[in-house]
Amino acid sequence: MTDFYQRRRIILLLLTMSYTIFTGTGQCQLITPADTKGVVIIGDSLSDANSFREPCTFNAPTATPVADRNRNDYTWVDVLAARREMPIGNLVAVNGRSYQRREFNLVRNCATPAKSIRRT
Amino acid sequence: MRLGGQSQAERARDLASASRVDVVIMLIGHNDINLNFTLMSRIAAGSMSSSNHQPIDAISSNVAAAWQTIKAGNTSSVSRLMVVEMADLMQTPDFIRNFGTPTGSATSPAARVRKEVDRVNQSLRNPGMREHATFVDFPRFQDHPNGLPTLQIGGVILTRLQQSHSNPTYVFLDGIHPRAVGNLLIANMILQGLNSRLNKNVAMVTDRKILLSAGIGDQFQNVTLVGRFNFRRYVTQY
Repeated sequence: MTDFYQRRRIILLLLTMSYTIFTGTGQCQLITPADTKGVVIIGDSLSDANSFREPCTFNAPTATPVADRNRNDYTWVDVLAARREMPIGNLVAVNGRSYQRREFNLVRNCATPAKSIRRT
Repeated sequence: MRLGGQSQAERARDLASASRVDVVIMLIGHNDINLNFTLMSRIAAGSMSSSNHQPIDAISSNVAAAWQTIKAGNTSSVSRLMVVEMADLMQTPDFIRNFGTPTGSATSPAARVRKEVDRVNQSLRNPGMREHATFVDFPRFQDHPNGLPTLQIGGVILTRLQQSHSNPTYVFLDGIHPRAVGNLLIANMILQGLNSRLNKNVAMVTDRKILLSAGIGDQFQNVTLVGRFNFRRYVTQY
């Protein structure tokens, strides 16, 4: 299965859900084994970073691009910039500063070495 | 004002423009329902009106709009889509605690919530999406008597509708998010969908591997799920 994913480029969009499904056990177990490459995960509704209050993020207007709102966080754009190509394995878009630690854990526990991710 | 999901769709579109993409997977969660407490209360009480359905109906229209955005990047490289449909949120520890165990009654809160989940999933299968997408019917997988409800993997009986941060034989880590075994079940559903979408036959994650990943490989006895359970029946391609 690892080989299958490594040879394909897959975008996984998480819509109206949180990253917890990936990070709950501290591993990228949802669709990829830990050594998988070629899968890009893009998140949408990180509502457990939003205090579980209305309005929910998927239906709420998104006035500003994610990367702009999280200029100081690790972002999906950072991964792209660091690799100068389609990112190899894992993440990232963040929707709230409080999610940074969780996201970092995800990066740390997955294939992409943390050192390859830089701050803007 | 931008539609929900558009920022992410635009990033996916840019990726597709810059490089070949074999398949886009949309995993639909239910935060837009379960975190909207007013909405959940109305659903459970059976007091939904057509205007109350707006945030629910917006989910499928937002998903469709996101897909159109992605396709706009490079139609030739992104023609394959897989949609993993919204799960039945009543089959989680949190919601059973709040609304009670599903009884089978059509007027129970659980049945009402499930009806709204089904409403979303049915509307996701609109003609525009059907043209490109393979659908993974996760709620029906949850319903199956040999699926999640009475789950055994590698001969190990798993506790499904309770939660534990420490016990790897529990499906749920907290009230709503799965532990390793739950994640790997979802992984197998997705893999089955990918096999169908890409016309491949990649092996599923085995019972032994699931238990190993959960840290209880030593409890493996014999194969009871993967290879014996028909995951493919929950994948639809039009």
